[in-house]
Amino acid sequence: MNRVNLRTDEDLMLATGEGDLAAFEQLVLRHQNEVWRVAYRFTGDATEAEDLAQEACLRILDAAPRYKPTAAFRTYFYRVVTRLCLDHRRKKRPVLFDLSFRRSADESAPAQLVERQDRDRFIQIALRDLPADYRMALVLRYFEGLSTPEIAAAMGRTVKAVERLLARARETLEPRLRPLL
Amino acid sequence: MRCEDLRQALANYAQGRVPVHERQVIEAHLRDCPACRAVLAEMDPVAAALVQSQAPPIPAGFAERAMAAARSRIAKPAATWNPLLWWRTASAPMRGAAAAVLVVGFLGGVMVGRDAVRTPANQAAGVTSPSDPWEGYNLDYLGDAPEGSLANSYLALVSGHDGEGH
Repeated sequence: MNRVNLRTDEDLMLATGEGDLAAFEQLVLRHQNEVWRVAYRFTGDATEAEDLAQEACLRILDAAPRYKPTAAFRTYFYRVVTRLCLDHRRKKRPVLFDLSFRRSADESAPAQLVERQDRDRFIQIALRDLPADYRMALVLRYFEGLSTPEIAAAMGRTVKAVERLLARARETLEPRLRPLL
Repeated sequence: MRCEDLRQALANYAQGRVPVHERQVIEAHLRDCPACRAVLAEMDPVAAALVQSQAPPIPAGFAERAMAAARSRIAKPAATWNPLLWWRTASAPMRGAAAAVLVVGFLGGVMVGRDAVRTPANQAAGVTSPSDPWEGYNLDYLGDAPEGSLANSYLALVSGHDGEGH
């Protein structure tokens, strides 16, 4: 096994701060799925998600020289991508549809695949219509599996505020998802 | 994973209290098992609905593109300093120190500015601000500026005179 794989995220981040790009590459490889998934679930658009995910990686690289391992890297990493997504949304209107939500052009696509595509599209549209902070709280809870304190750290809110946010978000989203229940 | 095992873990799952690898196993089971999804729906209907969705896979080559962008950024000469970016990434004590420096600088500037306006001549006359900019700012040396010159226009602007002493 490659020696670098045994190092913790925090060690890799400290090494990145000292200019070790191989350490940074390891961090990118470890966390690329999470960063892309958060950005994709939040924006509903694969192109925007790639731009945001890449920018999040670069911000982590920029901040590495100042990084202090006082909190888990995972918490730090989610905070960067969360802030980036929320800032991005403040500046831009959401896109209406993403190509990846369209039904398969292949008429012979299995019914199961078409059904899954329709279900994904339905869920993503239901999410898209929510206020940005509701959507981010739901993405972190249900797609990333973060606990309430972890969501609070990522969003820069208190635990109580996140509990209220999640309650209101669920209340708004649940009627829209009823056809899937 | 058997349904009985999964149902014991569902409460923790709904609270975001299971490790990543275990969550993936639970979600894979939930997507294929309507009975377990129904149990989850009683605890958290939103979780039961959202677990049916799978994000498309990350685009191929993402890490390579991110690393190319990283190398390009590092290769650039010292990037221009971005105060907004600094503020977002700085620690709380650093932000506090920066805010304190700004406040002290602002207050210092105000104090120095007030002292500068209170010249000895003005203080003797009990004047706190120059009523006539010719006197307050010692602009006499510009009095010989030719008509139509920039200095002449400036004098007319600050004094309200027509530039010829009227």
